Amino acid sequence: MMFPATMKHLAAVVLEKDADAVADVLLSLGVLHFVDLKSFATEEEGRIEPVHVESRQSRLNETRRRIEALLQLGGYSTDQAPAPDTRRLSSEDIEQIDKQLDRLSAGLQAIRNQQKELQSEILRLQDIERHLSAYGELSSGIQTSSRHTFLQLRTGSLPLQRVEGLSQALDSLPSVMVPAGESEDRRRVILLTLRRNADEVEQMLSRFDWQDSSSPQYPEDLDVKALADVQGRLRHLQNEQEGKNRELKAAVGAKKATLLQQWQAVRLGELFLRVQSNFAHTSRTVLFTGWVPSSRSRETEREIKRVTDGVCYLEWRKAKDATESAVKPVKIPVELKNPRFLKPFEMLVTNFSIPEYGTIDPTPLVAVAYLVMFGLMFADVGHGAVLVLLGLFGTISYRNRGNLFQLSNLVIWCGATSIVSGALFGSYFGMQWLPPLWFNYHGIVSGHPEAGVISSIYDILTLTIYIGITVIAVGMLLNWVNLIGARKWFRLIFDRAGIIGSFLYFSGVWTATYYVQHDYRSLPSAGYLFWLLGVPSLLFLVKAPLEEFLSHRWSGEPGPHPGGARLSPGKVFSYVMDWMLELLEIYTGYLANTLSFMRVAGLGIAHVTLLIAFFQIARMAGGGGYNVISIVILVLGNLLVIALEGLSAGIQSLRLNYYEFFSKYFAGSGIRYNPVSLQSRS
Amino acid sequence: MAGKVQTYAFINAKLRARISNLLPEDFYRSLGKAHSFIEAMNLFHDTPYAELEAVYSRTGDLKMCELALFKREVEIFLEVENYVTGGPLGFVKALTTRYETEALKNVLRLWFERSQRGRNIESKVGYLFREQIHFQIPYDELLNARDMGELAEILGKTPYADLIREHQAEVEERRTLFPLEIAIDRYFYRQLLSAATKLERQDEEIARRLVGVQVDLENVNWVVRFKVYYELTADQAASYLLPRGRVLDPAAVRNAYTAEDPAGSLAQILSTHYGGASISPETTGGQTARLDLIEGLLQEILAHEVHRILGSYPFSIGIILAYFLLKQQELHRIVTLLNASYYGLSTERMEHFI
Repeated sequence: MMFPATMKHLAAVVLEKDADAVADVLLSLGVLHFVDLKSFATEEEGRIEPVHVESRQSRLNETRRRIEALLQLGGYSTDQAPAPDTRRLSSEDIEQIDKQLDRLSAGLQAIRNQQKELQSEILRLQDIERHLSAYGELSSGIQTSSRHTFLQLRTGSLPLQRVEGLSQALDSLPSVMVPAGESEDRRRVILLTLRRNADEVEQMLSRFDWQDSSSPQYPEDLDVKALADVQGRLRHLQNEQEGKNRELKAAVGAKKATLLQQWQAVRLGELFLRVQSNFAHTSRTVLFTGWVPSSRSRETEREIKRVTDGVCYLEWRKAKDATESAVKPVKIPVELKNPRFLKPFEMLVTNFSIPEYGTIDPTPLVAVAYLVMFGLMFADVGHGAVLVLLGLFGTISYRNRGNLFQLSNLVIWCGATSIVSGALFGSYFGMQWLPPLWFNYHGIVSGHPEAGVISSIYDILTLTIYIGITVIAVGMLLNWVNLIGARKWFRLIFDRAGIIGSFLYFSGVWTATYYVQHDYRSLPSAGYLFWLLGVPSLLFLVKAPLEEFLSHRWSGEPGPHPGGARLSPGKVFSYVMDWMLELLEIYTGYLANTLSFMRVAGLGIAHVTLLIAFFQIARMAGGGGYNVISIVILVLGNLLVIALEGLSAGIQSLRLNYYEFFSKYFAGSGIRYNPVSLQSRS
Repeated sequence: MAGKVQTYAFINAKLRARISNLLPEDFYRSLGKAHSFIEAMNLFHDTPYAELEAVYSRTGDLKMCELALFKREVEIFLEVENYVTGGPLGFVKALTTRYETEALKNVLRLWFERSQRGRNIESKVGYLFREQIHFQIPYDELLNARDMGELAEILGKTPYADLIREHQAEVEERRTLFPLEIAIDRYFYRQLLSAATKLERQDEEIARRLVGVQVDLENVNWVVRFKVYYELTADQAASYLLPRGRVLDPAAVRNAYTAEDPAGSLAQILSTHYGGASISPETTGGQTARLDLIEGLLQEILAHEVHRILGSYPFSIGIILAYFLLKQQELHRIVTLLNASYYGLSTERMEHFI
C-alpha cells in the first residue's frame, strides 16, 4: 500500500512462428507494460524492424466504432458484451462483419426515410393547424379580400366513389375535408385549404367532379371540427413516427446479441494488434521488452515458455539495473496497490501526478489528512448525512463511469467524516440535539464558550496550526524516506525538507511556541537561537559550493576553477545570493505553509456562522419563534450551506494536500503502469 | 482601457469558454468517414450538438436538423446581444441581421417559386425559420403575396421594402431573384460597416479587417456565378459586387473578370497582398475549380485572422467577431458534411469539405 509494486524488466526473444501464440498469452495475462525496444537497443538495432499493424488496427477500430454507434442507436451499451472469445478474427471475418453492418445500417436508414415521409405530412398539417388556430371562428366563411387571410373555404359535393381519391390527392397539400352530409350519390364536403394553393386545388377538384354549393352554409362549430380533424391526424402521424423510432430500436435489439459478440471479437482483435505493435522482428525472431510486476514474473515466464515449448530467450533484470543499461532514458511504470476503499483518494493523488517509481504512495496519508481537514471545515451530522445520500446516489448513477464513480465514493467518505465531526462538535443541521463529544464549536463561535481544552476561537486556530505542523512533519518524514530509498544523501541533508531544513523548521516551531507561551514578550536566549536557527541557516551557505564541488568530483570533470584560481568574487557573490534567497524561501515558505492551515479553522467558523445567521433570519421571520416561513428559510439555508461550504471544504482540503503536503516530498514524474490486457480500453 | 475591460471582460470569458467547446478536427474526419448517414448522425450523440441527433431520431428528416441548427445559431447570437451595450451592441445587432436576411431570402425564393414559376412549394414551407430576429417579418403574408408590390407593402416597416421596390423592375424583367438577393446581401454589409464606424477606433479597425476578408470571400464566390451562370457583363458584375473588401476591390475584380484567366488574376492579387499565399498557374480543373481554391485560400486567411485576434488583446470586438466566424464555419461544415453524407458523396470528395 505505501509503496508501489516492484517491477522487473523483461527482454524476450521468441521465434516468428510463435509470435501469435505469445501475443495471445501476453494479452490473456495482461501484465506486460511494453517499452519501446529502441530504448534498450544496441548495435543490433539496424537489423530489427518494427511490426506494422497500423492499417489492420485502423480497420478494426473503424468497425468497432460502427458497432458501438449502431448499439447506441438502439440504446444499448457495450457493458453487456459477453466474455471474450479467444478465437481471432480473420480478414474475411471482418469483411463479413462489415457487410452485416452495412445491411443493418441500410435497414435502419429505410426506417428513418419512412419517418421523413411522415414528417413531410406532419409539416403540412402543422401549417394548416397554425392558420386554423389563428383564424378562429369560421361559421361566417372567410374574408377573401384581406391580405391576412391565408385560408380558403369551399363547400361543395362530389360523387361518393370519388371522395377517397380526392382525399388522397389533397394529402400533398395542407388541407382539411369536413363531411357535411350526403344526398343521393354525392357527399357534401367543406374543404379548407390555403389561399396560396388555390390554383392547384381548383385543378384537383375539377378532376374529381366537384360541384360548388350555390348557397354555402357552415356549421357553427366548423373551426372546432376542422381543428380537431387536423389535430387528430397530427397525433396519429406523430404516433406513427414514434412507432417507427421504436421499430428502429427493435431492429437493433434483434441484432443486439450478434453485435455485442462482434464488438467483443473486434475489440479483442484490436488489443491483439496493440500487443503486436510493440513487437520488433528480425528475419526469424520476434523481440519485445517491457515491465512486469515482480509478483507476476514467474507466471509470465512459465506461460511464455509453455506456448513456445521452451524455445525462447527471456532476460529478467531488476528495475535499477535495467534503467542504468538503457540507451535512452526509461521510466519505470508505477502500479499503485491500494485497496478499493482507498481508490477515491488514489484518484486525488493521480490527478496531481503519478508518484515516481520507488517513492512512497501517499494515498493512505492523503486519505487521513483530507478527511481530517474536511471534517473540521464541514462538521455537521445532518449535512454529512446529506452528503452520504448524495454520494450513494452518485455511485448508483455512475456505476460504470470511472472518475465520477470514485468522486461519488469520495463524497460518501466526506459525508461520513462530517457526521463524526458533527457529533464531536454537537451540530445537527445547525442545532444542538445532543451535547458535543469534544467541544461546542457553535458555542465558541456564537460567544458562549464552555470550559474545556478548546474554549475559544484562538484555541480552534491553534488546533489547526498543530494539524498543519503535523501534516508538514509527516511530509518531511516521507521526503526522508524517499531520499534514503533513492540514496540521494546530499539532498537528504540539504533539501528544504531534508535533515537541516526540517531541523530548522522545528526549531522555528519551538521558538514560536516559546514566544507565544511567554505572552509574546520574549524569545529564547541568544544561545538557543544561534544553535537552533543560526547554525542550520549558516549550513545552507555551504550547500551550493559543496554541491558544485561534489558534482564535478563525481563526474570526473576538472574542478570548478582549473588553473589555480579558487573562488572568484563573482562566484562568492552568487553563492551568498543563492543562500539568502534559499533562506528567504525557507523561512517565509514554512511560515506561510503552516499558517495556511488556519483556513481550516476559518472555513469551519464560516460554516457555523452561516448556520447561526440563517437561524437568526428564521427567528426574525417567525416573529421570535418558528413558523412555516422559518422552516423554509432553514431548509434553504441548510441546502445553501451544504452546497457552498461543502464545495469550499472539498477544494481547500485538496489545496492543502496538494500544496502544503505534496510540496514537501512528492516527486510526481512517474508514469502509470499500463499493461495491454483484456480490460484495456481500446 | 478600464472601459474596454468593463465592456468586454464578461463576454470575452464566456465566448472563449464556448470557443474551447468547438468540435475538434477529428470529429469532421470521423463524420467524413461514416459509412452511412444514420451512422454519421449518431456521431453527434456525445457532442454539444446532441440535439441534432435527437431531432433526426424523431423525424428522420435532415432538413429539420438544418432548421434546428439554424435556430440554435440564431439563439446563440441573440444571446450575445444581451451581454454587450453601446457601440458593440449595435455592431452585434448588425451581425445578427445576417440571419434575418437569410430567412427573408429563403421565403422570397419560395414566393418566387410559387408565384412566378408556378411550382408547388408545400414540401419546403415547413422548413422556414419564422421567428423574429430584429424586425417582425410576416412570413405567411409574404408567401401569399400576389406580386412584388405587395411584398414591399407587407415589409413596409422594414428596410427591405425599399430594396424590393428598387429592384422590382429588374427582377420582373430578368425573371430571376438574383438582383434582389444581391441587394439584400449588400444591405447587410452596408449596415454592418456602418455599425463598425460607431465602434472605438481599435475595434473599428479589427471589424473592418475581418469583415473585409468576408466581403472578399463573397465576391470571389459571386465572380464565377456571374460569369458562368448569369453571363453578366463586367460592368454589371462590378455593380453587384460588395464594396470594401480587404484585398479585392470592385475595380480589381472587374479587371479579373475581363481577363482571360480570372482565377489566375485574382490569385495574383491575393498573393501580392498575402505574400506566400499563392495558387500555382498549373493548377488544373478549369476556372470553377481554381476559384474554389481561391475561396479555400480566403477561408484560410480568414481563419488565420481569427486566430490572430484570439491571440491578441482580449478585450475588443475581435472576440465577438472571432466567435461568430468560428461558429458559422463550424455550422457550415456540419451542414455541408451531413448533406454530402446524405447524398452519398464518396469519402474522397468529402475530404474537400473537411
